[in-house]
Amino acid sequence: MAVLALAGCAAVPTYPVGTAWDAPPGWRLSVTGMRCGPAATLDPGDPDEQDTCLVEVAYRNIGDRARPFSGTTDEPGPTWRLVGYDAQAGEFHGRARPTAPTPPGGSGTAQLVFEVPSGLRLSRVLVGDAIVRLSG
Amino acid sequence: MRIRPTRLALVALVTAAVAVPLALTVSSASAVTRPPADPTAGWTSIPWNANSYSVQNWTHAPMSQRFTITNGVYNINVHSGEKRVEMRWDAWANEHRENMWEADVLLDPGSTKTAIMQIKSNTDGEAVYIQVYDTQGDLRNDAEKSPIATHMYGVWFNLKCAFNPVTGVSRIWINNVLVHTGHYKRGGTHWYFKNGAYNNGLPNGARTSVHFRNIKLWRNDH
Repeated sequence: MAVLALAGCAAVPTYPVGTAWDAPPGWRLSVTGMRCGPAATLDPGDPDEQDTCLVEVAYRNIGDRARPFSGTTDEPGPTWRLVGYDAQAGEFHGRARPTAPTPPGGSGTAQLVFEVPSGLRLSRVLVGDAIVRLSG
Repeated sequence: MRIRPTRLALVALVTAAVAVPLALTVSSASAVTRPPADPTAGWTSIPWNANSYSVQNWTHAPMSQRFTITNGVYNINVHSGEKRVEMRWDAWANEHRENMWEADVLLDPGSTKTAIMQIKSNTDGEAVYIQVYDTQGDLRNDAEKSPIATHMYGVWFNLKCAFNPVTGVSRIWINNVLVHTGHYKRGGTHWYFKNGAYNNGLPNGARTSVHFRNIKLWRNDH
């Protein structure tokens, strides 16, 4: 596991795509890939949006009660902080698409959505307390 | 309501690292006897009107349910499952100076996981990104883990956000107290302000409701 220092942050654990980590409270997750392209195709409904990067996440509920990966009012979950970075350290804040509750031991997949300029691909993404390297 | 005095976002800002804590010490010590100094002193006021911004209502609800103006107060809300409702301001006329957006802001209880203010370039990202991120009314900027202010529900507060593309320095004040100094990449074009409600993942059944008044735009021409 590598460690990367972000501007303004303490050291943040960093993982490559496909590596799972435990994310509080009670989730195990991994980023499995990313697709980028026109927002009209990947994230329709916002004509001001140019391109979109969809970051795919696989998760498993290792807690003791059912809850959605995308969070609840009382428990934001691992998506409480989502930031994408380009190669020049530009920041593009993201959001999680809502997910249904997952029972203890259950698993699923989710999409994290990032608005980006045309043609841009994110190089890293901050998911909660961890960075995932998407390229390089 | 608690606001957090500034912390530097980049260790390399040695000069600021010396200057800012000193300034805060003075500010904190003097707060007992007089309010903090106005950060806009000496800045140029940028006039604006209803043509200076557009309202982006990317929900399926009619505008009248998501954006209203009552007695000078701009009321904006977004619900779980919706994308965003925001006032998108014109790009800055002068991107070689520090530009500032100011408003009094009121955040209704229950608002969460929503960006309420951004300094953004469509090509260069978000230099300032203020989110209410929990159900305590706590505010965070960008990727920072610690809040810039806590327990902000139900009370009007004055918010000032500034960014200088030439230096990459961003600053945020709450009630004229500097709560954030950061360093973003330099340069970029088409910088603009956006305030409102950008849904970052509102849980089922939740909504964010935010109000703005006394909106002002400034530029530091010195």
